[in-house]
Amino acid sequence: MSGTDLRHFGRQLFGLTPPQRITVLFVFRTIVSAALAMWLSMRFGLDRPSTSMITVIIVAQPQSGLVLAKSVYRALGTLIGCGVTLLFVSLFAQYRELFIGSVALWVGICAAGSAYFRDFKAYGFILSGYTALIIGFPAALHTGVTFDTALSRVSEVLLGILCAGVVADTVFPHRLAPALVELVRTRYRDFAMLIAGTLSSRDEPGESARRHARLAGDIMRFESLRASVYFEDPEVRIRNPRLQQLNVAFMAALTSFHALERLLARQRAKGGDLIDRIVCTRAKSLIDVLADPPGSAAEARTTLPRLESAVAALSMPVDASGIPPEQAPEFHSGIDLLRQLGDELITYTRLYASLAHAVPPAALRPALPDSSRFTPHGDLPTAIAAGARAALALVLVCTFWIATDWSAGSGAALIACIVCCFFAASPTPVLATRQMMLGAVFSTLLSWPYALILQPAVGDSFTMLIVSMLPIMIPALWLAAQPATAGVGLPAALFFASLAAPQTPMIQDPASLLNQGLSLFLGMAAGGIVFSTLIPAEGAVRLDRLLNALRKQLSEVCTRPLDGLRARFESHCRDLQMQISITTKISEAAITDAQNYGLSLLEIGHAIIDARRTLATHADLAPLHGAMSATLDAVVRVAEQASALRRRRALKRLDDLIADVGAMHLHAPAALAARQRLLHALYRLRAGLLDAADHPESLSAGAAHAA
Amino acid sequence: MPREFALSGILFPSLIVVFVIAAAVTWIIDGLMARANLHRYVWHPPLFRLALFACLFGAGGLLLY
Repeated sequence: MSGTDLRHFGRQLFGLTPPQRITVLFVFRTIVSAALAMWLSMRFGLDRPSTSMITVIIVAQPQSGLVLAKSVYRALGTLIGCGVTLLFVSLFAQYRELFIGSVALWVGICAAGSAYFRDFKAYGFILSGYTALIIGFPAALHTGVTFDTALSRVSEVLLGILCAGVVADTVFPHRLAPALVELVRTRYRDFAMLIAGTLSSRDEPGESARRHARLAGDIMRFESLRASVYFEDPEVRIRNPRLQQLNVAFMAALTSFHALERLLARQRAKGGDLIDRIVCTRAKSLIDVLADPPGSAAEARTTLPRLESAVAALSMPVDASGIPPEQAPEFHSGIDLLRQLGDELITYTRLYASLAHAVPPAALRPALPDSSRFTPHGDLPTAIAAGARAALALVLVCTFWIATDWSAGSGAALIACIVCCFFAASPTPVLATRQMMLGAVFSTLLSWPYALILQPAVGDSFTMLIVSMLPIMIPALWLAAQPATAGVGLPAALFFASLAAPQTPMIQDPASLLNQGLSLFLGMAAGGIVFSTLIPAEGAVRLDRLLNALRKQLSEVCTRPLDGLRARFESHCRDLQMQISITTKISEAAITDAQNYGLSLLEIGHAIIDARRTLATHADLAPLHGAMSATLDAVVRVAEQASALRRRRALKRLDDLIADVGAMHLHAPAALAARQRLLHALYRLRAGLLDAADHPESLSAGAAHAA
Repeated sequence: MPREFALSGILFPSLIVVFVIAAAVTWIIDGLMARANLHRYVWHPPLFRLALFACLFGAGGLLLY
């Protein structure tokens, strides 16, 4: 019987749908690896086997790639956190206030790091932050055994990680790699269809906007998938640089296409569809190629020559005789953009086709530099706020702990730190904290009868111990596997394991259970208060911060060195737009405004980079450098604070620059072509700025909401 | 080879070093296999990887004991 038959048979036997099967296997795997971790740490005589079990639950994910990625960063974070803690204990253990202060500072730095990086690196920061607390507080309370405690805690965590990773990777693994392959394919197909549909004017405008938004969202989804499949699949690992370049190539083509689309839409709004018609006729052969997109990387290889000849046809001399002179600039920029889009599509398709091979053949070598990759936007103010929040919550709880001399105070401090670090980059930290509280209620209530009645009755048998935990662990993990309830289920399983898991030696003390339960809630409450009131992290405050960051992108695009600027600018803008779209507690209209601002920014930035690059690569245009930088300064000033006066000034400078460029005496054909290119970029910049002026809410979106 | 070594006065088992080396070698062999497209001939690549690691780690451990 082959594997497929077997799978089919199993499905029929249990009557499970595929998602149910994933959930069942997830629960099964997690329990097996938790039991394995617990058994091994008892065998090795580590002093708190429950830590291994908790570790397994923390890294538990239905997809094996996610488990492996989390495990690697968790191991790194734990080791770093352990080293820092030993340092703190050796320096400050005698002075309680100094010790707490230094730990709060460290936790603050780690929370800031996790809010700054926001990908899997963030997870390492979180872990090194709260490992400091897991090891640090018990160690500081009993300085004599600091090193032993630290060593055994690290061994328990690493053991848990190993068990989770091995089980997730080998026992009925649920792989992410097929999802990544599927995403690469559908994204190419969707993008090709979008271009073909828009250029042949078959698509409804609403349809096109929806596809656009989905494709933009795919950029981030692709990035996070790639980062976790990296650990899962060696085939993906050796293609990793090309996959990163694929995302950059896609972003570039999407932005050029967006600029072209805006240009055509502007012409349509002015009432003339002449240019629209000519550009679309010209793109006829390109449309034909794109309307029949390849379904896989191997097919892309056969599409490539057709695409190349279609793009070559675009650069044939243009017959502009039918165009009225006042529309000529728009027409030429349209053709220019179309050519640029064609070149970028070739790069994108070549990378796509090269993915069929482990080592790309010479014909498919990527044209992009090796270092081009998506870089998520790291926002310093957000990171500092997150760090301040974590440090503040920790200091609050510790002050309470010292003032009341409460025996479970260190537990509360730990939970406060976990809440602040884990939700540092979450768009909805308050909701997440509330869900976590719900999970804690569930597990606290159930852990009392369990630890006081069931566990003593079970006795010494390890098997019976695991079996007795099942009635609570299975429902909690089931909840954790569903995206909607994961926020409740995961903490429930986690806290249940930490409250009820047996210690060596066994302790059955109602008062200590009560204290531990209370410490959970106190810690979470402190975290929630800091997130919602002291330094708010949601709603209008968040939107303002994101808009500020977007505005900063415009000044960066005018001032930063050109090397790698385009990939950086585009990935930051896309990332910020994604973050804007998941902001909660704000009106739909405000989000749409902010999104539109982001889109117009992408267009303006695209034109600016184009202009700057043309200027930098042609020595003949060198006399223009002064006027260009003055214009860019004026644009930066509009970005900093949009006012009618500043915008008029910027437009005036731009018009002067365009006149200067037009009046230059150039003879060499290359220089003339470069001048044309520069002019077209400047026209597009001008149109983008005028567009923004027509919709004042867009360039000053932040100001309107702040008022 | 000694079974334990001292690092600033703390004894560590040499097996840790063997473990790390075995993991690194497994990672490298795995990458080479993917490059040569050898995973086609393996029924369950992660299980193969784990077995490879167990062999390497076991062989390294036998050198010590």
